[in-house]
Amino acid sequence: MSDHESLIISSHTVAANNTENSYTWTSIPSNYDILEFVIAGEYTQDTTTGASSGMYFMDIEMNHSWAAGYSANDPDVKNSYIYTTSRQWYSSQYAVSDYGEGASYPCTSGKCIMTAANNPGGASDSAFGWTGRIIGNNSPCYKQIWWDGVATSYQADSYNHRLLGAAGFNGQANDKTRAEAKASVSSLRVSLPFHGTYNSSTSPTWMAGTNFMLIAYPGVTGGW
Amino acid sequence: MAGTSTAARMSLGAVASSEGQNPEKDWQLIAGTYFGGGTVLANLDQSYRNMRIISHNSQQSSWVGTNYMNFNNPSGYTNNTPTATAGPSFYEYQGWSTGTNYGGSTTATNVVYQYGGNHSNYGSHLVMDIYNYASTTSLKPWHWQGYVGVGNATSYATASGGYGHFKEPAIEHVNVYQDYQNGATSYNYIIVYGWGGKI
Repeated sequence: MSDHESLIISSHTVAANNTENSYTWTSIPSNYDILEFVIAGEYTQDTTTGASSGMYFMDIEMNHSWAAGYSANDPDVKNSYIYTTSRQWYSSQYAVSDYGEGASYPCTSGKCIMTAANNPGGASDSAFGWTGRIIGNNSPCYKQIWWDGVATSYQADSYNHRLLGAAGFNGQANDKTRAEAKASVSSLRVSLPFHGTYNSSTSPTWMAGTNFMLIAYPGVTGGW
Repeated sequence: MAGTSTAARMSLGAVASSEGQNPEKDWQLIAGTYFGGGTVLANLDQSYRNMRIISHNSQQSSWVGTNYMNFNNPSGYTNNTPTATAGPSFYEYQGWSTGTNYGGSTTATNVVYQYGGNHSNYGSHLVMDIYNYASTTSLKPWHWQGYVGVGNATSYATASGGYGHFKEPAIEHVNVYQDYQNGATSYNYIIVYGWGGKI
């Protein structure tokens, strides 16, 4: 057997404030059993008029139509589930179940919600950090994903969250067999939705220093 | 493989990007020691992206106690983190006899509060990740989880966790502190890894 082997596939750091709200990995190798994504930094509040009462999610999408070879169908996320804790609602749960074709935002077209932190604090004091794993990426089974993280700000205690989430790809949404749900994840996108028309100074963006890292574990052929 | 730049969908606006992908080995042990009732790991290596702390504790008191872990105070065994470093800090725990509890606040200075640790002949451990710990300009989100095991009694088996973020100063020092300060040196250890590559 092989020793523990953790390989950094890529690392990207946001260079300046108000420049990025979406990050994409493409052409991810398919020969690793476990992919780990580590995303940590800060994001700004959506100060667009009318957005103050909205929910602010960070999404992750996999094998989408924007990736080569997946132009026809997106793998739906079914039974996506996020569990969060906070200072006031230490056992609160947010289950996002059975979203798929025709379902409404924010889980339509295969997005997983990565935070339930709503209305984060001021423009410079909302932090987040996740470690997530895609399990069995080199196997022919339906893909699974889970993540563990934190989203904190200086707003009320209840807006500070510990995040534990998990989701599975749906292979048969609306009676359509979705081969993509069983294929290796070859592309991965994380994004910050926004209200109204995008504006770099009022829509949510990641702040300088936010890092996006992809790590791989060879698994059966090379240890964890 | 090579990463490719990808434009964001228009509906999302703004910028997307991707870097070249050249796998490299990760993880480096940067500090570690056995200790008694508390210890300080000072002047930690600042060259890695993220930090993972693994701590295992027990002590010889006859009653339940608390494990504390605090940061950026190199002066000794302390249960506080300077306000220049401490951001929001929260904890929670659930267990047999300990019940379900939660605490902390956006101004708390006890960063890691692990109730139930240290009871006589009990073992406890926690694993903590601090992201971007060496940055001097960014907030540093962190979370931990841990467990207090059952030793010579059936009470106080407790699962626990915490979360928050640090302010801008880099995390250079880690303090561990236990309520009763009477654990044998061989009962306790802390190790610190740098991971996520070099910055």
